[in-house]
Amino acid sequence: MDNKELAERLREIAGKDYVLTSDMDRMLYSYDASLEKAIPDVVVLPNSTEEVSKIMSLAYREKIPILGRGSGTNLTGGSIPVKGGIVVHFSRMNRILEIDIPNRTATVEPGVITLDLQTEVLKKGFIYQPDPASQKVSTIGGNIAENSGGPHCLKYGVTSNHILGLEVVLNDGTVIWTGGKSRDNPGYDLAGLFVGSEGTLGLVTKAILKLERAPETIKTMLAIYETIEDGANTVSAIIAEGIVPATLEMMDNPVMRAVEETIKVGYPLDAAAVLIIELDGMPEGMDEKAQKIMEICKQNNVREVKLAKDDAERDLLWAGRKGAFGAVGQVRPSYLCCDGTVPRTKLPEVLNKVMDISKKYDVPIGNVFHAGDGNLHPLIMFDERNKDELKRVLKASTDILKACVDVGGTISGEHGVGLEKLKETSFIFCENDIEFERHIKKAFDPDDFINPGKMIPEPVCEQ
Amino acid sequence: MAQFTETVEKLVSIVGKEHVKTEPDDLATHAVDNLKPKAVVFPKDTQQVSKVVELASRENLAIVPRGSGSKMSMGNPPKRLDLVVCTSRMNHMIDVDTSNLTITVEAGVKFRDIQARLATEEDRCYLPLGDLTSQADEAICSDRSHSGCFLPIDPPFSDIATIGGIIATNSTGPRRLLYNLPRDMILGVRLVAPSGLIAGAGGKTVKNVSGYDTSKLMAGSLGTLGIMCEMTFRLLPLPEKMATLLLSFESFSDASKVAKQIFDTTLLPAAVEVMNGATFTAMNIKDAPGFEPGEYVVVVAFEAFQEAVDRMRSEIKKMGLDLGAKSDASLDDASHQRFWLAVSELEGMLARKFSGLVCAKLNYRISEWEDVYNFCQKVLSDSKIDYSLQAHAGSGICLLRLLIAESDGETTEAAARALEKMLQKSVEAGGNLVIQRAPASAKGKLRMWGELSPDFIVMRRLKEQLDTSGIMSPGRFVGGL
Amino acid sequence: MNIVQLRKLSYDEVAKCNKCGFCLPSCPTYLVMKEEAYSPRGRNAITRFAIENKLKLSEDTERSIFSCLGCGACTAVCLSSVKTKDIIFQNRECEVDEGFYPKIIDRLVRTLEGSRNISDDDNEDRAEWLELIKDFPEDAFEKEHAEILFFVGCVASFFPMVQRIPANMAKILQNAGVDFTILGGDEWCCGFPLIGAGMPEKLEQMKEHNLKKVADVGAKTVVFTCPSCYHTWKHFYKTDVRLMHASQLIAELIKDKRLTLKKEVNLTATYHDPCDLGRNSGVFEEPREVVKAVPGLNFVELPQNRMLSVCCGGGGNVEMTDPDLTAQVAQMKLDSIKDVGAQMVVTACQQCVRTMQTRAKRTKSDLVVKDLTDLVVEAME
Repeated sequence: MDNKELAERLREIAGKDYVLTSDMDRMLYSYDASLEKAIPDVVVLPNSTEEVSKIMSLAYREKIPILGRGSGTNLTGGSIPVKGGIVVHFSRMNRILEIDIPNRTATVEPGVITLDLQTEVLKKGFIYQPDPASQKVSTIGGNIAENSGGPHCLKYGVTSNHILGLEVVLNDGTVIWTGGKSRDNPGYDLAGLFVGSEGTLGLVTKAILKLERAPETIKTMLAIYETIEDGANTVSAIIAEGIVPATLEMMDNPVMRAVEETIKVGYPLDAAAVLIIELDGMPEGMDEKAQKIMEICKQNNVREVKLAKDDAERDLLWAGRKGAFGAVGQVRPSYLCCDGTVPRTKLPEVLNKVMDISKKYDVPIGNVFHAGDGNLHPLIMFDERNKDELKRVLKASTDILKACVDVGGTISGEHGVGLEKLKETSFIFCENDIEFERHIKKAFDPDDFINPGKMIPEPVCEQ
Repeated sequence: MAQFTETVEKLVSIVGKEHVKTEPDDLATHAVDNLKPKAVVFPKDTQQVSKVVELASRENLAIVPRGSGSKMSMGNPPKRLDLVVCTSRMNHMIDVDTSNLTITVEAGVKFRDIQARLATEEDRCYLPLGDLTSQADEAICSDRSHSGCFLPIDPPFSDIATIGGIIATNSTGPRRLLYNLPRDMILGVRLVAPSGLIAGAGGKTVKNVSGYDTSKLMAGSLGTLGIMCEMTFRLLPLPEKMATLLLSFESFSDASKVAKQIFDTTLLPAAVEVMNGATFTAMNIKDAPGFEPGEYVVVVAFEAFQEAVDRMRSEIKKMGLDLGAKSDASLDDASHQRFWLAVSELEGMLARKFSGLVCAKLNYRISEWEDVYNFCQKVLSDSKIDYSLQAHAGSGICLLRLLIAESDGETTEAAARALEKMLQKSVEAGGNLVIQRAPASAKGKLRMWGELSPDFIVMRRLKEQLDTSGIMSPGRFVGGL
Repeated sequence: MNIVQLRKLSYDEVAKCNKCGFCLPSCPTYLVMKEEAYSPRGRNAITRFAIENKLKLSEDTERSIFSCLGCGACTAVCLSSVKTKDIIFQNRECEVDEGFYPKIIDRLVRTLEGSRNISDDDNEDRAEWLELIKDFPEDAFEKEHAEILFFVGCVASFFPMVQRIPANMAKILQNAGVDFTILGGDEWCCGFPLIGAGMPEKLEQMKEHNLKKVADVGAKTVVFTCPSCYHTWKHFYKTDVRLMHASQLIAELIKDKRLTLKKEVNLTATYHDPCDLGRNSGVFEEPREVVKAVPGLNFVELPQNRMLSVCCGGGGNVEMTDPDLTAQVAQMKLDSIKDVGAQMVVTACQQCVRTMQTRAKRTKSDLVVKDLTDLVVEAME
């Protein structure tokens, strides 16, 4: 089937306005937030499960690569149509279908923006926990594909802990529901498998999400340290005290400097790290715990620690962290955000290695990280147009991931493997592990046409 | 049989002579639903499991994995059975990293040993160590140089169950309300696939999107996709304060109102159980001498900071008294722990008392729990079967135990009819009914896994793809997988 | 402008776009059209592809580049603060030079060059709105010299639906005893539509003429009811004369007690930040001070306000080139106003008033749409 006929068939399914074929339109679906690019043959914007099912059947019969896309914020090339074919853009399927408070669930289409859902449920006093940094733009479908995390993961877990059921279009166009509003449905945990599968097993067309009560109180503290070790030790000491904060966010000196240069929140330029600690839950005992945490900070040589008295002060404490990426963006035109994750206690060790890597490849690196769950986000700053610099950046990124794996961590905490980290999967997996994954993939997609070329590296040639 | 003798020799060469059992007595005690294996194997580590499974795969031998055997009565009888692979020798704690709040253990490690290992030097532990039926394994639990944490899973048989068995069955309990399910706690797994190949996935970080989340696929798969050999979990610091509130009521509507009111607040109890009087009485609780159980008992667990526990307990107690609770009692710390240990051991205790015991788990949309509960009461009193009924009120789960002293044709028929009605009710309420225990003789008449759901087609594809020759626990799982 | 020039002018800026996509939900046209081509990130990608010779300008790129409302919300949420609106307007110059632009713009240019206003009417009719003010002699507001020059703008001068706005302003100034004048037929279009049309070079003669007139009148202050005129003067006219938006002047008059608002308006009202007044010129608080000075009024904020205000749909010449898109954006705006329970929306821009009022009428909504000057006059009388 040539592309013209393919487009014609897709128009019959989705309507003529919702099939994009011009050079320009196809190029506009050749990128995501990563450095990868590949141009699809056609883009389709379905409006219903039924349409998605028909599109999938067509792709199945014709063995055309197919790939779902939300807002295209993926950082590892997960939404790049590396083998061409059809891009299914879910922007029109963005309805919140139901918020069911008695059953503590929300049912949504995959194109719903995460923050939009959170805003809606908060009006009823509930929250949907996963809060990836991109929540203002990323979609639930994308969050499911990547098993997105966010600052709250230490206490509340990742996306997969909050997905109860999925409506999925399988490879041949069959539509199934797995899981649902009721918990513990017998059989394999397919929803658990779909979450984090990077869109390689099927297309999710509806999701049932778990809602929880919004916490009554939030307490926010900000601590400034002379060394990263002191900050990291504080984190461990807090947890050893039996307190699990909702958030433990840290920034290092290069990022603090960038923040001071742009938005000026009053960080001392000679400090090594700033730590934001947030407690949430019932107010009882919270003041005592906050006091205890401040004591722990002092025991760990904190230079200064502040407790926000009200929402305005809380916003002030967060301003630097929230503006961190942007501040770094002002330093150089591009930045690559790595996503290595390590056991929390290994953070100081790995951060030192990151600094060595920065020197080795002569690229500035700033660190913003979720200290509670050991998820690093080293930001390598560069100019994508400088090819030599780009090469050094990619090497630095690989070295950072290797450093993470060497201390018992992994290559991706929340961004996925996608295209960019296929090579690095060899750091954590042996051929047997990957073979098992290939079997799982085959059970869903024996023809390898659903988001092909992602996540699982091709078999190594035997000679 | 000559052929199997050769197989036994090969097994012996893998695990050693004393770790392959073929005596009739051994085979009988390891029978699954009265089906005797040809041999029972006790590998010592993942490598040996791999070799055993590889051999089984080559010779097309059907395997059922086994931990302590506490849940062997789950599922359909296996279609065939050659080897029972016991994980009991695989009881090493590979990595206890309390400062990172993770633990990596082998499948045969007992749940209570994990909790004992995570206890403080002063024996502050999630389980009441002194009240367990057997001593924790000191050899693997001695190092307690840390501040105390626990594995937040609340399974039945917490005294004897192995972690492998708990995960393979995704066993849960009342406190799932606060801590969620085992599948939410597992971070990584190393398993032996049905081909014998050793495969790993996940790791020891909470966040991990590197490859498929195989741990979730394996959790609850009842040994049909391979044998989980090593697992990594996330841990939590021990709660500062643990307490339980008991409230007794004469009417279900009052008891259920309390539960409902709790869910309308922002309070975060660890469990809210509504049980019938028979359930409470069966547990034989000695720590609340003045408490008078009525027709219904509402039990609320609190595991939080001291101040938060105090507030929750007093607010909920007031709700209960306002609704006319006829009696109430508070259990603190050790007595709280003993109470929930009794809940965990209830099924085992009843099984010893009632040889015809049938246990079922109903799931349904949370909001329909009262309706389902009422329906069950009606069906069961109509069918004149004694029963214990225990709802995890905020989780949409109800545990039902039919207290049948001795199974015969007539009682089995009656039980099957009642269960069928309740199954339909659960299905209408968006869920299902799974029978978790029944005498082997009765299983033919019961739908052990309830109704098949539409996603079964995918489950079958997965099973066929991963277990091509169908040697892993054949037939025991959903839809005869 | 050609691609080489565009490269020189915009490449460094557009290269700052990391394609993170954070701008997508801030862009009204993306929210309506739901295609990448209607997103700020998509438009930046087009510019970059064009600069890198990977994509030729075409009717397709025209469709994307000319659908931008110029509201600037994308830059407000951008982590790297990429000046996407500026890049798009520069790209428009390229598109125009290659012949890819909505042909209706030709008519606009002819009209502007012919009659010196955006409507086809005789520029001498600029002060037609004076007929709405019954109590004063016809030429009372056209003086030779005055402290303050009130620059009326084309839309309010010629579109009957909003002619009441300059009339309101005149009444307010009169009431407060301000010495002011208007230019009448000597006022020329400020040139704003030409920037959005990708022909900024044609703005020069408008600017020269208008600046000369200010000098003739000897005004020390120019006041605008139109945020886009205000924004154009502020950013493209180089003058030392004090430039004020009406809302700022009114707020000042209230503060100085030269103007008192006595009459109660018992409604729940919200305020819509016009893009060229708020985000693009930084005037947020004065209009709110004025609204809150009205007795009886219950003020509520829209969830997205000030820097994050969502465009009404009337910006960037889109109302002229794609009225349907404008209508859909306006509908989104009205929905968000309804969501906060407001019975009335107050804004400070004749274009926002037109866009929202038109949409409200078409959908038979009972939402009251008012310009700030409407509200002030009502509370003043």
